[in-house]
Parts: sequence; C-alpha cells; structure tokens
Amino acid sequence: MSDEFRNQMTSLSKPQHEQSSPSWLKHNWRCLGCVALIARHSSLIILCLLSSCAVTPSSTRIIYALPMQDGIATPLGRALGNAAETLHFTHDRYTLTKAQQQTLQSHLAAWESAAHPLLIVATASRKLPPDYARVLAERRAKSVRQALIEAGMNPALLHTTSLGNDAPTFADGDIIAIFQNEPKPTPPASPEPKP
Amino acid sequence: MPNNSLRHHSLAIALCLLLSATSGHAEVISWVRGLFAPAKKSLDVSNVTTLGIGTFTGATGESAAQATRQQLRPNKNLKLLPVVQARFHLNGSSNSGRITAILTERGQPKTIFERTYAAPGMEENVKALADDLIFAITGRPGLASTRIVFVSDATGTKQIYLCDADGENPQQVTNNRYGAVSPALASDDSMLAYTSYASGFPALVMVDMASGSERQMANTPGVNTGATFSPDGKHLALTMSFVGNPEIFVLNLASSHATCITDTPGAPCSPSWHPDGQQLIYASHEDSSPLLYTIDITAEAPARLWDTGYSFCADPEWSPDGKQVAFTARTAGSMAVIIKPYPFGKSSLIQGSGAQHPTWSPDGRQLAYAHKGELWVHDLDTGTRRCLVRGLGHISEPKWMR
Repeated sequence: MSDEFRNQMTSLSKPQHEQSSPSWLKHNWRCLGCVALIARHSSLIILCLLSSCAVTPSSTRIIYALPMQDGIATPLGRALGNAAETLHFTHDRYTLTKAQQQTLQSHLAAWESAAHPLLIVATASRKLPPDYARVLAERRAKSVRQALIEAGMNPALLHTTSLGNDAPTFADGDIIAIFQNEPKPTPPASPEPKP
Repeated sequence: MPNNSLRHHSLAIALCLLLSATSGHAEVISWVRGLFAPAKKSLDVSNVTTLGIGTFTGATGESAAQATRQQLRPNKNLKLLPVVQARFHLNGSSNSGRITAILTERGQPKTIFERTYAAPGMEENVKALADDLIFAITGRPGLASTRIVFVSDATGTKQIYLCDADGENPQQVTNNRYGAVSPALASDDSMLAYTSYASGFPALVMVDMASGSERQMANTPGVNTGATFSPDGKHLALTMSFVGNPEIFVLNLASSHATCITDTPGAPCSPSWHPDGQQLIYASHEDSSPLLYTIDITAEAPARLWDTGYSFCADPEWSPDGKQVAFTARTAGSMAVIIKPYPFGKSSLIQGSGAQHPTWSPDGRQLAYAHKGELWVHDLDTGTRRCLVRGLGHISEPKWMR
C-alpha cells in the first residue's frame, strides 16, 4: 500500500470509529477487519451514494478534479468510479486534455437540462508543498469551470473549491451539505488604489 | 508571465461586509508579554560583545540572574565574562518573578536602559530581558521570546500550533472542525492569520493573540491561502481566486480592501514580503512547474521571473535583510531547502531528502523547516542542525514570527 493510499484513506476515515470498537471484537480479527474497513471507507461510501443518487430539484452535483500518482488514480478516484464525474490530472498539470473535455461534453446535456448547481472539488498530490497544492488544485477546478462555461453552461451554477492536499475529514456530513449551508459571499465592490 | 495591462486593473473588494467576529476565544492561547517594548536604538559595538551579569537583589534575584545567563549563553555574539572584565554590566532585582534590570557600559556615566519585566512568569520575563540585551548590545534582534507557528495533524485533523524558538512549549492554537492550515504570525506576535476549514471550505481568519478573538477576513469563493504579514503589519499578501484564476492580493487590514497585484494564467502562491515592504516574491506555475517571480507592488511593472537554476520552486521567503531567499526546490526527485543570494549568487543546499517550507529566524542566522514530519532548525553560522519538535503528528508549514 503506497503512502498516498494510506494517507488519503486515513484522512477520509473516522479514527474515532476504530477507537470505539467493542472490546470483544479485539479477539476476532476478521470482524475487526470488516468494521475497520467500513469505518475507514465510510466517507467514501457516503460520497459515492450522494453522487450516484437521483438528482432532486435542490441537489448539487459534484465534479472531482483529482491527482494521479504515477499514472494511477488515487483511492478517492477509484472509490468514486462511475458514481461521480472525476477528472484525473497528472504531475503539475492543470489544463484539460481532449479526453477530459470529451468527458465533460458527455455529461453536458444532462447537467444543462437539470439546471442544478455543480460543485467542482479539486485536490492535489500529497507530495507537493501544501500551499502550492491548494492553489494548483484550485487552478484545476477553474479549468474545469472554464471548459463548462465555454461549452455553454450557466456560470452562476458553477462553483469551485480546493482542498489542496489538506484532505479535511468530512466526518459528520458531506461536502454537498457543507456547500449548501455555506453563506454566500458578498460580491466585490469599489476599487482601491494599490497600497 | 503576468502582463502589465491587467495589473492596472486593480480589483478591490469591500470585504468589510464579510467581516464577522466569532467567539472562538477558548481556542487561542493568550500571551502576556513584558510591559516594555524592545529598545529602539542600538549601540555601535561591532567589536565589543562582552557582558557581565552582576548582582540581582530580591527573593528571586539569584534565580533570575542564573536564568538570564542560561538564556544568553547560546548567543555566539555575546560573550559572558566576570563583571570586572566585561564592557557591559547588568544588574537588577527580582521579586516573585518580576524583574527590574539595569544595563550600563563601563566608563560611561549614562545607563543604557533600565526596565521592568512584569509578565506573570519569570521565564517570559527572562526571555524578554535576554532579547532586549542582545538587541541593545549587538544591534540584532534576539530570538528568546520569538515563536514559530506550524501545522500538525496530531489530533487527526490539521491544526495550528505554536512553539518557542527553541521548540519548547508547543501549544495547539486552533481546534477547527475540518482543520486549519497556512499560518502566519505578525512580527510583534499580536496577530495570527491562517486558512480555516471551519465551514468546510477555505477562509482567511485573523486571531488577536492577546484577547483570543477571531474574525473572518476573507470568505470568498474558491481558495484563500498563503497569507503573510507585511513588515509594517498593516497588510496581508495572499492568494485568492474569487475573480477567476488564482491571483496574489494585498489586503489592507484597516480597510479590509483587497487589491489584485498579479495577472497570471497560472497558479501563483506563497507570497513573501521584502523587508522594504514594496516587493513580493512568490511561486507560480505558469508553464510546466512552479518557478519564483518578484513583483514591485508600488510600480506598474510586470512580475519578473527570478532564475534560481531549479525547475521546481515553491515556498519562497526573503531573509530579514532582503539579501537572500530561502525556498523549496525539487532536486533528484525529492524536495530540498535551498538558499540563494538575491538577485545574484550561488545557491546553497541546506537540507535535501524531503525538507520543505524554510522560514528565517528574525536575526537571519537560522532557518527552520519541516523535514519528514518534524520541525528542524539549521544554524547558518555553524552549519549544524537540530530537531526542535518531533513526535507531534506530521508537522508542516512552519513560519517564524517576524
């Protein structure tokens, strides 16, 4: 198991679940393994279910822009599979390939007709310096957003967020709920001269 | 490469409307310093660096004198000698940890300073006294009362921590639900800025270190990260992306207005101020990997690529005298900490094998960085290094207060 895999699994899991396992399970390694596996993947399972469930009038769809490690999709990307729209970026790249543009095109008609908000969530490799990873991930999300705007989608429905390689643990909810509860920022106002 | 045209188009936001005082007082460690500010003037004593610590009267006088000797001993530019042999003399008194100190120079009728240090604990008073002595005698800032802020995942989520310059007293500052990253301390230790995931999405938060009160400075859509205080403490430089692609902004802390100073199609990040307060250096990925750029925020000139000789550079930080830049570079497949004279000169490898995020000590003689999840410091005078903090989760993004 690579460090990337281990780290991402750890960050997406709930450590408290492992600590609160019943004591009798400590003597049953098979059961313990199952419980731990479910606990460690619970966030991923929630994300998958949310992403694959039917779109309701108030729902938000997620597009993930995720890093690839040595040409291999990250655990989050593999776990999401076809349940969510994922785009994988190699190395430090933030521009879209033709294949990625075609992926977006294949979903475009459904997204446009649904007219629901789209949240583009981007992450970057844990091997990168953290601050650079945050900005690179955001830049990837912006590339996806721009491609969708150029394809005709309403910009007002397209939102981005970068988690860099910080991988916050969304233990008690999901990213869509957080996004929908987020107070909407005030738009820019009057300019100011340079300091 | 940023072009000039859009730099003229200064984007500014009334972030005042986004300000909201929050009540996270309990998360923040309040810190009371000595009653008196460090000396503003220094002596020209480049050839004389001897100090004799004389009599300290009072109930805790002897222990105060001993603690001051221990605090000053590691400083290579200040030699401790018996009072009769030293040029500078220190006398004073101490009761209940409170210290009154008098610094004089042999043969000079005037007292250099007489100060009282009245923080609750003797340790803080001794550190403040030691820093004042070093500054008054050598002209360089002392490090005893400076602190380093960093990120650790010791609790399972990334949070902000503080420790003393010697790595002692590590303390958790934040306890945000989804984590806190990218910290920066103001030079006087009065304010802490960091990126908060409290809501789940990255927002810029400021903490008043004296009162512990927090306020959200920027909660714009997209990313708000890499905040760093200007030398005068009146502005923050950071990366925000609410206008489109990520750009470097300068945020006026008094008015809460932000001005965009870059125009790049890439991913600019990690700005660092030159000590003159007029230039920034930052990393930006314009083509295939991040490189370092400098920009004069008061002029209308475009950003300039600074050739470091490395094809991947991040986390730049200007030295306190502005003559060198420390940064993270990728060498032989792993990250390394490099310093290079600015603008020209030969670069030096400080630490390879995964070391990242260098930060200068206020006196410019040491460089702290994160290495394999630990906090290390490199003494640039001696070339030696030592671990400051280990066993506290995975440590990253250290930044020395200055």
